Amino acid sequence: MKMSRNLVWLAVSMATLLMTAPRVPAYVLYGDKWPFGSRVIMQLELENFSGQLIDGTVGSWNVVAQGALAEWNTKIQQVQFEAVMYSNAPIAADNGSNNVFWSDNIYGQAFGPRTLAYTTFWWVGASTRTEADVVFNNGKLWNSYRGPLKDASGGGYLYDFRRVALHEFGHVLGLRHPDDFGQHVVAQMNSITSDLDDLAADDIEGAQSLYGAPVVVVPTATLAHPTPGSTLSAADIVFTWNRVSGSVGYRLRIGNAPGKSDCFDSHNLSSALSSLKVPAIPSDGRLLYIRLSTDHQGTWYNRDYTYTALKSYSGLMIHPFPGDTVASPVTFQWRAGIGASAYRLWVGTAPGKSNLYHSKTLGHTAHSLTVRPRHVPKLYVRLSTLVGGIWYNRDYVYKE
Amino acid sequence: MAPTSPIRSLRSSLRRICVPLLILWAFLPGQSGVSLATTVDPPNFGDLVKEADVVFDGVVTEIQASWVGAGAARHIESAVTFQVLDTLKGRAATPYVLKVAGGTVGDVRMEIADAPAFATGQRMILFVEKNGSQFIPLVGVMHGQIRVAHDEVTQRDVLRDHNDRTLFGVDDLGQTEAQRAAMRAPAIPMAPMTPDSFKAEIRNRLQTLPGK
Repeated sequence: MKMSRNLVWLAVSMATLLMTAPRVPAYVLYGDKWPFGSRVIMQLELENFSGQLIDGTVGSWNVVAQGALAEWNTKIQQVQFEAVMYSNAPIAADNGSNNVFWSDNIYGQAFGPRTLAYTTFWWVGASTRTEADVVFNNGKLWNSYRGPLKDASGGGYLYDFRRVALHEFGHVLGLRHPDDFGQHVVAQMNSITSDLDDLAADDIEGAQSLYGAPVVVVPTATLAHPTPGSTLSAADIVFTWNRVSGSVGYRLRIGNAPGKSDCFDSHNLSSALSSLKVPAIPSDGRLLYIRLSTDHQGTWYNRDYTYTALKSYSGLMIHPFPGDTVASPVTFQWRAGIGASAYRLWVGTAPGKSNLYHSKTLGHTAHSLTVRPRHVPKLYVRLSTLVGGIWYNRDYVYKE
Repeated sequence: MAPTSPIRSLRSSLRRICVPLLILWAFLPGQSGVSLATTVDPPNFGDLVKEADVVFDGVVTEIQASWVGAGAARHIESAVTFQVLDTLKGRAATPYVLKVAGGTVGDVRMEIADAPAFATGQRMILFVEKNGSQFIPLVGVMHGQIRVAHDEVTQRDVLRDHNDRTLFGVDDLGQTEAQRAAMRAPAIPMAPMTPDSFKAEIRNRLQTLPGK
C-alpha cells in the first residue's frame, strides 16, 4: 500500500515536471544557410483550379504556397522568401532556380506511392547552397485547411497542402526533422505531421537561429501634407500627418538642422490630432528640417523630413492665420519681403476688392484696422509689397 | 485468497498510473493526430513487407555518385552497393546495387530532405521498392531502412529506425513516439529486437501474404 502511494506521488511529480519544465529547443539544422541579406526566390509553378479550397482560397495553389512563404518571412529577418507567382521558370535540377511545382515524377523518376512531396537541395562546395526545389505529388488528394487532419471521402487522407508546404519551405531554409535526431518536441518540422496546422515555437526558434528574429517595427506617423521634400508655398502652413494606432501623442519641430526646433516646436500634441497650423515659417528659401515624432507609451519615435522654405519677395501674412475667422478690430502682421520698401493692405468682399478697407502706403509689417461687420461669408485680404518700384500682390481669405 | 506478491503489486501499480499518463501525453496538443510523415505516408510493418519487391539484410560496401538523366531529368544519383547477408523477399544477390537519388560529384552536392543516409560498412535491413525507377527506392522512403547497430550496454545487435529509435517490436514501425509508449506501457520491461528476431517476423509475415 505504501509502495503504491509512493508510486502515485512519483507519477504526479513526473507529470507536474513535464507540464511545468521550460521547453528546451530541439530544432536541428543542416549546418548551412542562405547568404545574409539574400532573397530566396521561389518560382511558384503550381496549377490553378476552379472552385474553392476548404480554407477559402480560390484560384491557385500558388496562393497557398505564397501564404506559407509569407508565414516564414514574418518569423525571420536576415533572409526573406520572394514568391514569383505563376512562374514559367524552366523546371530542372541544378539550374539555380528554386522550382515549386506539381508533378507525377521527380526528375523523371517515380515518387513512390507513399510520398507526398520532396525537397531537393543543391550545394556547390562545402556550404554554398545554390538551389532548393520543392515537388508535390499530384497523384495525391490535396486541399488546404486548418485544424485536425481530415480523412478523404474515398479513404486515406485529404492532405493539407499548407502544412506540408510550411514543412518543405522549412527544409529550404535549412531546418531538419528534430524527431529524426531523437528529439521529442511539438514542431511542424517533425517528420510526422499532426493536427498542428501552423509553425510551432521550436520551428520559429530554429529559423531565427539561422536568420535572426525580425526587427519589431513600431508604426510611426508620417507627414502627408505638404509633400515631403517640396518647397513650401507660404509662410503659414497646415501640416497634416497620418495618425497611427497605439500612439499617445505627436510632436512637430522645425529647425535649421536635423532634430532642431529653432523655428518651431509644437511640444506635445494630442494623439487625436492629425494636423497643425504652423505660422511664421521662414520665407527666405532656406532648407528646413522637420521632425514628426510619435509617442508610443513614453518612447518617442522620429521621422525626419526636409522642405525648402518659400523664397518670397513679397510680404507673407503670418497673423491672423489665413482662413481663420477675424473680428474687428484686427491687427494684421506679415513677414517682410526680401527687398521690400513699402506695403499696402486692402480688404474687400471679392478677390482684389478694397470696398471694405484700403490702407495708405505702409512702412511697417503690421497694421491694425476696423472693418464694420458685413455678414459676408468671406473676407478677401490683399497684401501688396513694393519691391524695386513694382507692387507684388498676395491674396488671403478669411472668415468674418 | 492468496496474498498479492510485491512484484505483481508493483507492475499493477505502474500499469494503473503509467497507462493513463501516457495516454494523456499522447493527446497533448501537437502530440496527437494521425501518424503521417510530412512527405511520406508512413508504412507499418505489414505495409513494409507487403509493398517491398525485395527485402534483404546487407552491408554497404561502396557508394558511387554520378550524374544521370538528361535535360530536366538530369540529377545526381548514388549507386549504393551491398554485400547481401540474407535475402528475405525477392531476388537480391551480392553485389546488390541500390540506386538512390542524391550524392556528391566533384564539388556539387545534391541532397533530398527526409532521405535515408548510407555509409560504407553500415549494416541494414532494406525494404526495396522499384529499384532503378523510383527516386528513393525504399518503401516509405526513410521508413524502408532499418539499421543494425551494436548496443554497447547489452553487447547485442539491435535495430534502429530512421528516427534512431530502437525497435522493441514490429508494431513500433510507423508509429509516433507517443503511440509506441502507450502501446508498450503494460509490458515492462521489453527487450529490443535483434536482427534475427526481426527477420523471423518478416518471414512469418511473408507466409501470410496472398500467393504464399
